[in-house]
Amino acid sequence: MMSPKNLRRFFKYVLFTILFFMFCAFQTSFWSVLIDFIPAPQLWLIFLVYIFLKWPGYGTIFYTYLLGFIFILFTLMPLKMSWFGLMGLYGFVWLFKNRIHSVSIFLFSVLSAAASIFYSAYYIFLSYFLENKMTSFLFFERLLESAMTFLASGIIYVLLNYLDQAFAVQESWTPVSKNLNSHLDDI
Amino acid sequence: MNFLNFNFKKTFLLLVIFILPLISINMEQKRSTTVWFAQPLSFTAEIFQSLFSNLSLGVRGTVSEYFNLLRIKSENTELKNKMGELSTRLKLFEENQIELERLKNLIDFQKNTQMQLIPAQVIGRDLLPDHKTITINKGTHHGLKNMQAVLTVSGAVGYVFRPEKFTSHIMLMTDRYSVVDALIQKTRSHGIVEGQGENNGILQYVDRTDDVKAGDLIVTGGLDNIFPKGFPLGVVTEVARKTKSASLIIQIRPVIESDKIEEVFIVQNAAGESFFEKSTEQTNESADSKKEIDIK
Repeated sequence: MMSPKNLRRFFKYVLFTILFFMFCAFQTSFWSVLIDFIPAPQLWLIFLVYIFLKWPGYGTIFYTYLLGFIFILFTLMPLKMSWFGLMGLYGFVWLFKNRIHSVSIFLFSVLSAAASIFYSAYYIFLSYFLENKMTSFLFFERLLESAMTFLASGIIYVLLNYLDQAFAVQESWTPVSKNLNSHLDDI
Repeated sequence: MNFLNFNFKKTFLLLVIFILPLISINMEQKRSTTVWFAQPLSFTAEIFQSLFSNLSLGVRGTVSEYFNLLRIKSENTELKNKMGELSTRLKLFEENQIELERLKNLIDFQKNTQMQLIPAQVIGRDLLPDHKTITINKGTHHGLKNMQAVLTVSGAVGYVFRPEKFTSHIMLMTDRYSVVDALIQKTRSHGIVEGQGENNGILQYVDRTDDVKAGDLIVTGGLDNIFPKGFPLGVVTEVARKTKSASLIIQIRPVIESDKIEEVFIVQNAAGESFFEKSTEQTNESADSKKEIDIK
């Protein structure tokens, strides 16, 4: 039987996974079918940047592997490219994670756009080594995609942050002040 | 001396007061002409009259224009609404017309072929720009299997590569993982079409002595056991003859614009149907008609 804390964490993971599915499906079956003249914002990437930034340690890495597996359901990309790509993205975000302490939405948007550009470059690099036939550069398409990602990231951040806060595991409160003031009783 | 204590001044004034109406009676008789002393007054009156008349006209005009504008504004809004509604209807009508035509073509195609086809609708595209795939609304539940050919009325699209229960992923022939056996319709020489990732492909392993030119039609070769033979794949856009290479490098443009596909057919059973003769006949007919036009 799971403790309430673990149960809460479990539901958070389930909800975020469903959200990841929704983001991928929105991008592939809604945006690209209705608005085919502008590339869709990379909602999946914004999602990943958020969890890489906000969620702690090893659990997130394993969770990313799961997401990488889900990711390939929406594309032809092989699993090796997906996992290598996502780990590269994790490394990129990790570089900034403990160096910039800010909750600014704008900064998050900038980081998302930077991550998108990094991912594109990294994907080309990976494709050169891991695939028989290297991917095309598609410079303007990728650039436009990063710009769209920048624009969409603010809204996604607010949504994800709200859900994250709703499922935040609260530590049990201990009356520290009482212990601190206990010496006053002796006086 | 004033014997009777008579006030002349007062009397004169009274006289004038009485005489003036009498004079006016006299003046009434010559109404058509204005007497000389009344002319400046009349002129002044005219000026003021016309001034106020213009003013009143102006006010009336402005007020009426204002009310007109209000009316026009409401009419305009109403007309705009109507126009919007009509243009929406027109667009819908045009859209329906196009859809009707497209569906008619699809039904005709399905009727006239011996192949067993499953119609499907495109419901999604690839998540990444690096791959060219589409998702359709039919899966294993509807009889789809891996490596089945996907066509439209005008040409080959790709093949099923990941069938799920109710949906399937189709690898388009422009994807860089895609490989399709192909035939140059004119020379009948075989080659392999490889996708290039963007909206083009490359035909490889065609002998460098072959007479291939831009504009030649590339059709499916049928050796891959995926596509029926002779179905249009693309058109040659460029032919490169590298000095050291034994084969030509032929750039092709697919006949299908992958971004605009909405409905496709999955070939469940090709029933040995070959489109090669049909497409060759069609090409010959079009070439003949072109020649006739040239002769004329």
